[in-house]
Amino acid sequence: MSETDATDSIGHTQVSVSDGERGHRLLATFMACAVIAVGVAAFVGSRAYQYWTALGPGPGFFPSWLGGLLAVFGAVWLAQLWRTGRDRAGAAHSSSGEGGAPSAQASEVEAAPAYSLPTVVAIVVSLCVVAAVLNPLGYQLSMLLFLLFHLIVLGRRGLLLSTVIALGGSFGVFVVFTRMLSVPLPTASIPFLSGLGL
Amino acid sequence: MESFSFLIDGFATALSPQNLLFALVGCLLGTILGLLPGIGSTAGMAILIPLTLSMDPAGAIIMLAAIFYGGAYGGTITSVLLNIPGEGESAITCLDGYQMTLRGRAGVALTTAGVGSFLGGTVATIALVFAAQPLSELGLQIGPPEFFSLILIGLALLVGLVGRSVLMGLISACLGLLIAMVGIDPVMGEPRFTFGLPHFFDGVSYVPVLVGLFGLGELLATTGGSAPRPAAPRLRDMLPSRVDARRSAPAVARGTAIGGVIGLIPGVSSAISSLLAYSTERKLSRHRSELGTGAVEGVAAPETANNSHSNASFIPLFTLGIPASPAIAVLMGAFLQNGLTPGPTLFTEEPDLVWAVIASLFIGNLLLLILNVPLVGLWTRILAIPYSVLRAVIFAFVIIGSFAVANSVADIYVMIFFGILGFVFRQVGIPLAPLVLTLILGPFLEGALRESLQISQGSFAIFIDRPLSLAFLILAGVILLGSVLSSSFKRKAGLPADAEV
Repeated sequence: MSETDATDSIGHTQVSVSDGERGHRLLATFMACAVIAVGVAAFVGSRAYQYWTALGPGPGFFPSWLGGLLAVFGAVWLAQLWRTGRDRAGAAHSSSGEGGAPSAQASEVEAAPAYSLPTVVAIVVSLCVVAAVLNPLGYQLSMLLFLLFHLIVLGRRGLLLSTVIALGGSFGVFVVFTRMLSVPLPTASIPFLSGLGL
Repeated sequence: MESFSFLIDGFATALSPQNLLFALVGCLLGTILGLLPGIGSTAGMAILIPLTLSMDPAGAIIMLAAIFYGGAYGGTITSVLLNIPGEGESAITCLDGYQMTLRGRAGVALTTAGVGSFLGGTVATIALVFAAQPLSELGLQIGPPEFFSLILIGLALLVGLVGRSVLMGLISACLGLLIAMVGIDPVMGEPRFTFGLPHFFDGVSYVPVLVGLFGLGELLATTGGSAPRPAAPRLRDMLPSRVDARRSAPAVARGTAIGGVIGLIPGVSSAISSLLAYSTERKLSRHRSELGTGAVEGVAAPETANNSHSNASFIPLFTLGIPASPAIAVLMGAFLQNGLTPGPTLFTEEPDLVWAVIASLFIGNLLLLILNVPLVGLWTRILAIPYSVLRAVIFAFVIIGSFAVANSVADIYVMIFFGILGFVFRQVGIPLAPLVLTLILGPFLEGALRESLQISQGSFAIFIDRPLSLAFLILAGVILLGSVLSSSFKRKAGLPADAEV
């Protein structure tokens, strides 16, 4: 790990600049390919709809042009990434040949990302879990567990503080939204839990 | 004169205890969200849309508009105290605002920003009152081809000016348009790109997409950060001296004019107004040599300009139905959510609502001035709350916000998907603003294109046969071409990658 490594509040090591640059380039390449794929899919998918009708352009007209354009833009982005990578590799090679430090151009990378990948994954997974259990367990119980996980495990907060905030964010927010703002939130579909008023 | 009688009626509605409370709550919530690292007024409005779901449309829009400008003020606080711009538009304020903090003049900087924002916002809203009715009548004369070409100007400006790469802007805009294609085709009535899922027959709902892109995406992108703790300035340190007031006055006047004019142009973000106001001070201010070292003009000009811009940007929304920025696009989404379509017909169909919202802009600006300057100590205490706690609470709202729109868990998954997308976009430098604008404007853009081609029986010549449409198209082309040519200049100038996020 390089000197730019940092540790966040929950002890996860952040991505270093050099790792970050590699990861960033990989992610950008993946995204450029994804953009091309979405464009092609939209273009192909739009062929299922009428391109032109007696009334003028049909439902397939706009998406087919958009899909085509998106695929072209994605291809241009991919080409730009490839060219930048080649230029950087060339610059790094020439500077190492001269026995110097890596070139200024090569070090001109994006700043170290301000995210912690394990935390990002944990958040996304926890959100998927809460979405999956929202109907069976109801808002109150699923949000209570969700907030406790975030405060105690990810945030490393004390048990008492976490419990108070989690109770407020689950049961308190439920009362505010359902009773005061008339915004319905889900109750448990499991009979035992719904019998408990959850 | 007719406008004034409508405005007085609007004040009567906006000053009702209920709407006044909504404006107050909106200002406070907006400021709090604006304070949080990375969460600006756009994300703030998106996250808090569920609070307004059961309200009447006037109350809902008043509250969301208050969140909008409250968020801008919250962003100023972090720019001045922490050197962290909460919003792209406040980035330039960091230069002199933070220097003033280092010199023990944070209070003066915040008061100057507050007063400047109030004056800029109020003057722009007065301009809105004068311009709204005649411009909306003009807007009614615009046919589908002109409307299509006008939206293209907005998109060209947005793609060209926001972010450092025109290509990335175009990709973002195309993706937004494609997402907007999902749902029942408005002309033929057949489902399009719904993957056989009835949930998508009404299209992809704006709220989960916006909450995901701006709310969750930003929260994921800042998971490694720990918020620094600022010191609150004392109340007696908040008052600017007579010299400060004298020096600020011309900067406030210039900032008001710049923001008011630039805010009228669809697609140009308020960050551009701030930058222009600051560079104008560098050229015209009598104390230009002090800029960058804690000069009060460096705070007064950009802060006035961005608030003037924000209020002026309601003019294209109300008169032409074109949102000038992502934040205004979210507000437009809220209008659509309430069954209202912003545009010239709004003044004839919903005059009570539109004038109540305009009146609330005056009230909201005043509320922010009265509340926020004395409450700066409270805001700094909120900044001291551990970020993990704030984040967990925001997640609760993010989940409710996505679920409550259609009482559907599917929308939570949509929000998560767009949250990941927003996070990845931030990492690879794709701006979010074009996507959001085309997502909201997509159906209107496609509708205008198809209507135009129906009128011309399939001939694209309609766009160049009509002089106004041709002029708009040429302008859009020139803007896009100019942006491509000046992209290297923008890189050197270091414009924010996504000015509204």
